[in-house]
Amino acid sequence: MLATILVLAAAAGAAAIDLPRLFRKGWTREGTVYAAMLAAGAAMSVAAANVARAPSSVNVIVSLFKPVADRVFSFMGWKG
Amino acid sequence: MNSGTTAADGDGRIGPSLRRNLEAIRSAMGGSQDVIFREFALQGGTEAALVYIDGLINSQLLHDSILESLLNGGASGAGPSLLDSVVKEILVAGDIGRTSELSVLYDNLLSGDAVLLLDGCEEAVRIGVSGAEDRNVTEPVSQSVTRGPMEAFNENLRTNSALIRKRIKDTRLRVESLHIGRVTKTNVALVYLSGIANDKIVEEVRIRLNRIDIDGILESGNIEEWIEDRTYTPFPTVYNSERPDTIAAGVLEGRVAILVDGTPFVLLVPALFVHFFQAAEDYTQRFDISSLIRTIRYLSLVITLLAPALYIAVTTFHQEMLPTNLLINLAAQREGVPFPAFIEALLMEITYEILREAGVRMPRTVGQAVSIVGTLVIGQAAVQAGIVSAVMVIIVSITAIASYVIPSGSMSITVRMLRFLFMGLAASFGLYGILIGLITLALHVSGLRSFGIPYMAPWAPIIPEDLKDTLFRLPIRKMTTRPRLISQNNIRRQSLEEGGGTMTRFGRTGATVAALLLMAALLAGCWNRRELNSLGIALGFGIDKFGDRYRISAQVVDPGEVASSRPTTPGRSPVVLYKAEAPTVFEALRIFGS
Amino acid sequence: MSARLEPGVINARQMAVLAFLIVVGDSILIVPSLCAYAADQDAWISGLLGAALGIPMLGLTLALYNRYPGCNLFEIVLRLCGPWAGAAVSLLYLYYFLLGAGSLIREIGDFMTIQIMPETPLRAVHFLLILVLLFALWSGLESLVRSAELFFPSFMLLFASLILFLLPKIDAARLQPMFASGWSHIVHGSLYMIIYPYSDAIMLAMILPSVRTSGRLTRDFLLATALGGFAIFLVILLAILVLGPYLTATSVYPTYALAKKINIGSFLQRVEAIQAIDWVLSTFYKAALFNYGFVVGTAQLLRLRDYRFLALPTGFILFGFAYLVAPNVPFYNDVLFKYFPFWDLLLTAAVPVLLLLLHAIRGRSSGSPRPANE
Repeated sequence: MLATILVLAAAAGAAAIDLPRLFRKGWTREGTVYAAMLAAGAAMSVAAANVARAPSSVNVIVSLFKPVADRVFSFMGWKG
Repeated sequence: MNSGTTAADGDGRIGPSLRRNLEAIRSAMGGSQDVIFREFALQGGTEAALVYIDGLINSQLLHDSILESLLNGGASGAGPSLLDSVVKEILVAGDIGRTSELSVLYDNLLSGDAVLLLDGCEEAVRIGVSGAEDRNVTEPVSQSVTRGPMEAFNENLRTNSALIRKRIKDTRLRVESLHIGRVTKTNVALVYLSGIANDKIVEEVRIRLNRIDIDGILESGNIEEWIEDRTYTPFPTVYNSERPDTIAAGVLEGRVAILVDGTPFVLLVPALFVHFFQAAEDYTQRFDISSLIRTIRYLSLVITLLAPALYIAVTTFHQEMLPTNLLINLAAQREGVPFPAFIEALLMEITYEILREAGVRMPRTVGQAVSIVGTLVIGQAAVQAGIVSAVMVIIVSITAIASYVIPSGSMSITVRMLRFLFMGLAASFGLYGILIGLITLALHVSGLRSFGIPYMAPWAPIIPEDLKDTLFRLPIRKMTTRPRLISQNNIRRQSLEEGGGTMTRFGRTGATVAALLLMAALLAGCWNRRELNSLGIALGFGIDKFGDRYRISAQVVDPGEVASSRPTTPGRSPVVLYKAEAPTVFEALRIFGS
Repeated sequence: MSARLEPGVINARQMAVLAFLIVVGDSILIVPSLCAYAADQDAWISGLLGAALGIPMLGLTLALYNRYPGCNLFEIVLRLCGPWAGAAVSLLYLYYFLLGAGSLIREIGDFMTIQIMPETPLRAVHFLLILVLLFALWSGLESLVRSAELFFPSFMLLFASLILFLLPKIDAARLQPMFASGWSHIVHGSLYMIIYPYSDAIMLAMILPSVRTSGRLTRDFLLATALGGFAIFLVILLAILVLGPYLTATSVYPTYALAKKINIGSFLQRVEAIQAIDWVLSTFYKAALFNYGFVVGTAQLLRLRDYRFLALPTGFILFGFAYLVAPNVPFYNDVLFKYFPFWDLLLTAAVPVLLLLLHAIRGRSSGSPRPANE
């Protein structure tokens, strides 16, 4: 819980420092990207800070390449 | 600079009436007692007055030459023509100027000129007889050498610029003057070699100096803070020195010196990291000696920055790195210490910093007392009281001493400051923390610039031809070029080096590297090496024969029991008897060996 | 494209230093183990073969860049594939860069917490590292490159000392029997030598536009990467000679095990923590460039006016990503061994070849390379 609060507070702090500056310059596009990235990052960081059990981000790659890799490895007779 | 706010009515012009003029000056000065009005009459009967500030001028000179000639010389005419005749025929001084502005008159008066006013003239004559009390040119205090010039700058700007001119007798040496400070109107001079200094840098210095808007400049440090490239960095990006030879060498490299009236410390820009590790003596000693000393300086940098941090990291995170004997030794020493290593180190380092600051600030007379107390605090007493371990005292001492090996005081303080940061990182993350700190530091210094020149210049970016005067100092004959980034238009310093050697440049370095590598390969081969404490010293030796077997006995000293410094353990014999039995003497000896 | 995102300019020598660090970084720690697992005592042959095959792969990146000088990877992709397909390919590369940065951070974290500081939480190690990565991003490319130059001599010194101090420990018998594992396995081993040092060097396509034009760029670049490959080859060889193929294959960080073997006169020993500085340092620079590629790529793709302001959100993403990359080390090593090579080859060999083909087709139809959009 403490970890979650810490991460969220840090994210809020970052937004409070940077976002007004960006919008004051009229960089709406940049501000939007900033906010979106910060939200995604904060969500992931909360998971990381709590040492939560979460699916690995490389699972996509594993499931994508599993058929190829298995076939290549067995065809070549490689250890694996 | 000349903001025109000298005094309330300083904007007026000089009028024809002498009395009125003197009244104006008197009221502008607020009746200060040190302003002297010497009124007299010229031979023609014209009323005249010499105005000057007592103490700023050379009164001997004023009386003997100026006043004397004014009183005795016969000047003719009236009004402006009288003034002409006074200037041309009577005044014996060399430095003379005329003005009709009261504000200019005040400036002249305050900077130590005598001012001559004549009745009926709307102009005043400024006579340069300044002669305020100055220190003599003495030996440098903060940057001393064992070999090399023993002159230092003093507080007088003219003396200082003359000291540089004495060393560089070239028409291209430029001395540009300007005044900074709305109230103090401090004289500041830019000294550089035109044609060798980079014009862009000179222009940049001018711009930055002109940007300064402050009431007073009392020391070059005030200017340094104004013209730095970046304020929020611990690293100095402006060099200062009180040695004319150092400044002259810098000017010869194409850098710009900034002289400030009233301080012996002259600024030199651009100043790169490597400059703070060069000392005047490097160039008066032979190159191999200088190179060795240079290397030691960089080693000291590392020690100052990292020694306490490494001690903390190794003793609290990476004990396995220590050889077992040393580890046991350290553990025994730290047995009674009630603090964690970090607190212990912090305590001692802060104590040292306090002592150092006290040593600088306190009156000379009590110095002895404080240094005795200091030695006690970070020495024997602290260890015996069980507050710190003896190793910690060694670490603190070596750090303190090493920090003074860095020739520049400003860089030394920077490093000592950063040391605390590294201690904190080491206390929480061990070597990893130190590495992270080093990367951050490297990123920071790599981003710094001094007047547009990258701060770490000959190393990052690497400029091979400028590396000759960094970690090592090559022989002077090899230093044929000026630093490339600093002086861009005139690089060659001397004619090409002699073509003596038959080996090419690479061949020679290549051969050296190969030789070093070969020697390093032998590192593992200390076959016959024996450590003192693994050595048994035999005092007595005997061979006995029992039937067909031989018994060898040897008496070996226990060094700890014999040594006089340590108290002996009661009941322990100073010698140990070893015996071995075997059918032959040789075999018995073999048993002994194992 | 509009004004350049990166104002900094670096020279060919600095580029070479970076290229060396990227080739060596991280690979020096993981490749020996992977090679030895695949090819046993012939891993060193795999190393040589891999370097020989990997360097031409860099030629691919250079060839692509030479067709579009002044453009970084994302600009090239967007020009060649058009806005929609280009965006899709760009997203793939963004994920590749993010994954690269995240997994390298994780590797440093795992290495530190497994080998050196077992009681420190992984998150703390990550946190500190990410702070410095962000500082690097924020300081800009020029500072990053110059700091790499600063560290380069000490890096080489430490590396040379590793090699030298291990010389007394080598046992040539461990190389026997040679070629016993067969060519298939040697090729398998060389796969890792191609992938991890050389494929990842495609990230240099992000900084090539910032290099001051000089005729020696190609030469310096290839020389530096060859030197880097040689360094890794030396480590593989030493690992086999000192530890033997079995220990090399089974230890997660054989280089660390190697450094533990240093013992000069019973005095200079247990210096592995010092040697670890080298690996963390080089891996840091690789991670920093992956991170740089990710942020600049994002800014490029979304047509932002700057990239530095994205530092803080990127920090959060990296912190999360580095943790989410893998639940544990064995899983990660398995991915590294089996699946990652294909993903890497797709993005660093297949896509560049396709792009080159596309360029050739376009060039034939229109006569000269012409921007697809804008």
